[in-house]
Amino acid sequence: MNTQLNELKTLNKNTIIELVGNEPAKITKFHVEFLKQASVVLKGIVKSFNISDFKELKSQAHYLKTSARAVGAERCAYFLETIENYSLDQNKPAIKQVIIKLNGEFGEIKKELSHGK
Amino acid sequence: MDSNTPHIITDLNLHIRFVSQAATELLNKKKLTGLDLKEIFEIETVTDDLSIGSYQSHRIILNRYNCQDGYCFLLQEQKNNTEHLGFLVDAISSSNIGVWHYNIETKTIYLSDISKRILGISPNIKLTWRKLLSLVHCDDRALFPLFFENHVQFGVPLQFEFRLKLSGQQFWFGLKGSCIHKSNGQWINGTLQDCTVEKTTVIALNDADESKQLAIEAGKIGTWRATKSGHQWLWKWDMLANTIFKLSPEDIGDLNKWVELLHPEDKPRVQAALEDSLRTGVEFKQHYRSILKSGEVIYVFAQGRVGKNYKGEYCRIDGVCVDQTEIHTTQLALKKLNSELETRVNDRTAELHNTLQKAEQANRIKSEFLSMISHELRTPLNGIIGALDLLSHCPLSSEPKDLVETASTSANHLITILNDLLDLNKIEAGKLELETVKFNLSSVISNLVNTFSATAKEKGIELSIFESPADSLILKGDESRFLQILLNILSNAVKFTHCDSVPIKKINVETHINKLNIYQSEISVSVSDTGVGMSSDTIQKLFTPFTQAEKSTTRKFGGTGLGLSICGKLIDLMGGKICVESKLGVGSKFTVTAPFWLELTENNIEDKSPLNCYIIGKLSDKNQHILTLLQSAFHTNIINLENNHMSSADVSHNVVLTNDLDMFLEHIETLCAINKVIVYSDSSLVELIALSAPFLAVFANQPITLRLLEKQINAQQQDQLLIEDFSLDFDTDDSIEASIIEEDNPSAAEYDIHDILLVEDNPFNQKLIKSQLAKLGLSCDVANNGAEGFNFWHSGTYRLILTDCHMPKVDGYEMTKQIRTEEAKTDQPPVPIIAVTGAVMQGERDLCTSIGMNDFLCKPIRLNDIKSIMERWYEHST
Repeated sequence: MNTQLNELKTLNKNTIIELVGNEPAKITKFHVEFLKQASVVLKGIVKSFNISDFKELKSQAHYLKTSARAVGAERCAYFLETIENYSLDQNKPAIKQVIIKLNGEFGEIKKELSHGK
Repeated sequence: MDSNTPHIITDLNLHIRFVSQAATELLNKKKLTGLDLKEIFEIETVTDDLSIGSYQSHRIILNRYNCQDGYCFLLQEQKNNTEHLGFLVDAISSSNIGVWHYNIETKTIYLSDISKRILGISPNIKLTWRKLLSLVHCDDRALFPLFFENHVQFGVPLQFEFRLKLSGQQFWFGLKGSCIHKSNGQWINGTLQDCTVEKTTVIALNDADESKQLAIEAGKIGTWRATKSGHQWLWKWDMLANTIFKLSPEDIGDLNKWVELLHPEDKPRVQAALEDSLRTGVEFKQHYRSILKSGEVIYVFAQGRVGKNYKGEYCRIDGVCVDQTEIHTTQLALKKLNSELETRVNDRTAELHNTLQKAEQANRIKSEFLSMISHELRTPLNGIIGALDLLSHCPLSSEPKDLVETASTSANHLITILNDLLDLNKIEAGKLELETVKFNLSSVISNLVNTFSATAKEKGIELSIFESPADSLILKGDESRFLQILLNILSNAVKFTHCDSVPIKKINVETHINKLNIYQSEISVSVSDTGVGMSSDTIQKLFTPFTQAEKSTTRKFGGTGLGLSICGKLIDLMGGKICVESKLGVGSKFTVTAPFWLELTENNIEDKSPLNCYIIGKLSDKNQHILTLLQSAFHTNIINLENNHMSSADVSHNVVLTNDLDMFLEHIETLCAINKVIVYSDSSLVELIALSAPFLAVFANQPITLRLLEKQINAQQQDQLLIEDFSLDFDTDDSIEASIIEEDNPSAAEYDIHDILLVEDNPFNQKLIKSQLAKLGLSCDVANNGAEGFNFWHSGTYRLILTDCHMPKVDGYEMTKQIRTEEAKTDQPPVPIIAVTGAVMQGERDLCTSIGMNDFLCKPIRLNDIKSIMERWYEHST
């Protein structure tokens, strides 16, 4: 088992604290900002997937990946990077499964934030 | 007496004094006077006046008469002696009469052949008196000496009957005899006859008579009779009949005495009936009353039959009479009691009817009131719920948001209660009608599970579904009410399993289809949980409306206690049942069973699609269940990857069943080569497998239904994704956003002139870096791409530029090149340009340096890193 993968967190809160300091209000603001951005970008990713625009797909994944890393959405970042990689290979079936998982992961983040508010 | 009559005259001592001429001629002897008569004739006395004697081989009969100083004997020769004897022997023989004689002195006995035969004694046997007595029945032996001695001594007639056992059978014999005096002693001669038939008949008759008499006496039945003599009827009745009418013994036979006692109201009828019977022979049968001399009234039943004589005339009547006063009195008492009881029952029935009517009316009023009030409440409640829903979508801060949520939950709960009340009222009023629609069990179970799977997961309850393999039965019945029952039961299971006191939280749903015949199937769905369980007392009152397990249940778990009551009534309407098994602290099992009609139209049997099922490691129970479901829906080819048995057939449906992560990872390369694989595993491994092989569809093997399984497998075949499945719904979900303390309002600093330029296309990163700079007391201008960045630089004066490398239109590298070129042309000092990139490779850093970037920040930028960069490049720049 890849232990690094095992250790990936849905939302590592220490990451954002390291970036902006331990300011809950500000952190929450960035979390919300991230989800708003994710909501838009995910639809773009799906559109690009459906028309098999792998370049755009990779670009969008990369775009969202930096935001994901910033808020500590480690699993999201992992899936986005995987999309980037499969986009290079144009492996559409694999990308489909990763997008589905990415979508699930956003749901988990949302749930975590709702419970942790 | 003349001389022609042969006679002899003797003295009192029987010495002959005179012999008549005729006698002399008969005897052929002249000189007989002076001789002893007894010696001459060897007389055998038969009776005192008749003797039989013999003289010179002639048999002489002597009849004695008294005369002066002596006797006169008339002599008569017994002629044709042999002829007489033969006649006698024949008569005795044909009558089967045995003869015997017994010598009293010597006690010797002679038995004729017939006597021996009827006694069962061989003719050759010489019998003694003692031997004979030994053969006689022991109870009768004493009769012999008794009768013999009495006869000899007192002249008592010798005549009695005795029993003797022959060949195991008892026979009766009649013995008669009389004593005679002979010269050789005293003898008793007699006869012996078999009288078994006569004796048995007499005994039986006596027995029957005695039995009849006893019965009549026991039944207090009087008998009466009348016989016709000339034109007169002579009446007689027994003492019992006399006792019934309390008549005197001398009244017996006086019909008038009986007539006088007849009740005046009954007399004409009874007398007429009696006369009619005597005249026409018709049976007499009458119930009547008699007034006794004491004034007492008795009730009598009399019945009699008329008999005829040989001429066919009615000549006799025999009958019985029974005193039925006691029975009549009892019947009267019973009648009275019955009448009283009937009156009481009628009164009570009327009373109950009234009470029932009142109760029904009260219940109807209650139901109508509840129904009306429920309807009336629903209307404003719908308004409240709608308004709350709209309010919840408005931006609200956390506290009002919480209040709106609480109000909304409460209003929805109230609607549920009202719906339950309406249902209960409908059922109790008999107004609920069941629908009949076509459906199949899989869809019901799928709906059931979809409703609760998320809640169960959230509450840490392991929900498992075990459907019986579908046999494509289409059922007909009320699908929605059946689902309502199941939803209620599963809802309770979730409610009572989600409890701190329950360490292992599990709920299993199992289905079973039992085809009763071609028209009907019985469906069973059981829901078992590891929840708090119930005592047997609680189970008893489980289906009573407004009753919950314990008083504390409402407080602890909520609810009205209506749910199961409605379920119980609904399942009754469906003709099914709900069985409950439960143990306090262990869990409960509810089994819902109901019959449903089957759709008789022939189903189009679809060809099953082929499917390869790859098994990695040992099959768990849950994966075994998945395999069973797959086999029911697909033409399944099982491949065990452990044995490296790969399928030669390339099919579009491929499923992997595994519960062994290590073995799965060993075969991950193999799975990469298989088209559109879908993996099922225990939920604990799903996450790890999904992360390890993100390119594979991975699902938990429970909770799963056949519908869900088919949906997941079919979705795998889709090449496109539906955009609506990927809506995070965040634009409308303000629950998180609402809690943000707004600080986006542009401060005055925003409009100041800044000497730091941030070139970044990602607004999130823009905000983040701006926020980090603000933390350091700095602010910046923001350009969205390299082109904008160059323009900003060209028109302003910046001490530092932070730029992303990868951007649309003009990227960070190109912008840096343009700035450095322009600086060289205009001989400007180079502005520090810091690359901000997500790439962390050394090649990226070298590239940045080579095109004129001064330093490098790796995303995400930590506060300390940006602080160092600022210290190094911003604070020292002029």
